Amino acid sequence: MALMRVNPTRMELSRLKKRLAVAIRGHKLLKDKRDEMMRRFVELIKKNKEMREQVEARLTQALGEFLMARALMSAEVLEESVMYPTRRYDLKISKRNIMNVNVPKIDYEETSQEGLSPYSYGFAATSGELDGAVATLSGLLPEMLELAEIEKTSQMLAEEIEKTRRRVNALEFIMIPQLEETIRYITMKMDEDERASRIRLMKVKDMIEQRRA
Amino acid sequence: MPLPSYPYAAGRIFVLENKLLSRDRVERMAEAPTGEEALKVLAETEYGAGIAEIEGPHDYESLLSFEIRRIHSLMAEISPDPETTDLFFLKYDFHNLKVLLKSRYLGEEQDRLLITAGVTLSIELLKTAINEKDYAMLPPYLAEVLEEIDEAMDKIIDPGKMDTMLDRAMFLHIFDLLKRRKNRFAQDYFIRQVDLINIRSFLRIRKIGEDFRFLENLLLPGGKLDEEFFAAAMEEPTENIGDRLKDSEYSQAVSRGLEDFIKTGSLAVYERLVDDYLLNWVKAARWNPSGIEPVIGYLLAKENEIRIIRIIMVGKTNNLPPGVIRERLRDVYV
Repeated sequence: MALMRVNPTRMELSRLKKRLAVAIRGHKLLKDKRDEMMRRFVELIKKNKEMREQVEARLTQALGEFLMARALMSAEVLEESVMYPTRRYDLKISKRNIMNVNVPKIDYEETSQEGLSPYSYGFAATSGELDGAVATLSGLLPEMLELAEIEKTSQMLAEEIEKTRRRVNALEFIMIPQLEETIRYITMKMDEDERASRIRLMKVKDMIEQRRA
Repeated sequence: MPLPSYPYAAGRIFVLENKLLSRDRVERMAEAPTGEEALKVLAETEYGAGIAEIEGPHDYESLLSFEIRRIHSLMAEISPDPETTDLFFLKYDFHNLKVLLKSRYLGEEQDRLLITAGVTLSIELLKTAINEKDYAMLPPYLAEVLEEIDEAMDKIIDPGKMDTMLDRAMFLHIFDLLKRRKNRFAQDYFIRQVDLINIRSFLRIRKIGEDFRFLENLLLPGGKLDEEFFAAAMEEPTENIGDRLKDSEYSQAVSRGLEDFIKTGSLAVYERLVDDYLLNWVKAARWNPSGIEPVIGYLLAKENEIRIIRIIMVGKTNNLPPGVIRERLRDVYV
């Protein structure tokens, strides 16, 4: 382990000792943060996986129904049927704080006009296979919003965990050993100096006594 | 060019009928492993010219538009009664009306959804009329319904209602015109179409779980089965509508379609049977060289063909299993 380039002085030693104390404390805190984030993250991705599978299954179903409707209607007629949405939603995106990570929180509110059916088309020119697709999709929106929220949260947490992990490792394997080593080096150096000066003193004392004798 | 007359049109049509897709060829298309292969089977027919124009199997809609345009100009050339044959193209005009109206309410142009093939009213005309709310330049029956729509949409904009009002207006106009022209055959055809669409709307409402009030707004005018029939049917379990229609000529299509609907909740079989029934009905009348029957028969045969090609091409380009395609494949005319 490389030593830090410092002057082996008492000042420097006490400075380094302070830094070491901070580093150890920081390391412990970051490690706790990482562990807690991991725990939350595991919970989240479990839920995420479950929801994603659910939503995907229903989306596959709805898209399959759309495909069938598409086989019975021309592209223009199908798109005309759904070009004017009857359902409107207001989305509000706010922030929520998990372990100091700002994650999105999506709230929605339906602002559709009352008394409108979700079927935004006439029944004469459209195939019956369209109804199923529209019904499935219109029920799916809340779940998709929740999924979006959870998925983004997991992503952001994962990123933060990665960052924290790197910091913890940097502290644990580089900063702290380096500090410790440098402190040992300074202490040894100063001990050495002390011994040298003591020997010198003893030597001087010897020499004075010899002269007196 | 010879003057259009019934025997002349019948003569032309009888020749053209030989060029319609045969059952055998449809089978071969459905069996084809890929979209390209299916197109190859089609290229040997009168669609060959259109296929040369398109870029590949994904571009089949252009092919179908090309065909609709061709049929439309053929009708303009040979139809002994263009007003009646134009009624079969009216749905494209109404489609454009729906697109333009919805665009106006949305406040954004959606011109790519407009259909240009087979329309009887020019898009430019419709566009100006609708965007400027100046309906005087349109046929009076259109002006009337468009004004009604503007009024109805004043408070709540309900696109479903918009479509339905236009659909109704279309059929009212169709029956009105046919009554004036005393065209029994075409009238009978549209009566059957309206009835079967209304039955389908009834079944769709059943599936969605709405009540008669919802259905009432959707029913198309002019059919043999009136509102009371559906009001009564709404009170009973779904399968009873089959019994009610047992003695009518729809019984076959309805009973089998209903059976499948109750079992699977899908209207695919019903819709197929209805198309087959209507086609067979005109087919039975087509040997009348001095009437409009062969012309209408041919028109519907072509529409049917276009439906068949669309089903196959959608299936092929999306890798649907042949069984799913086959379940929806319609009968052929010849």
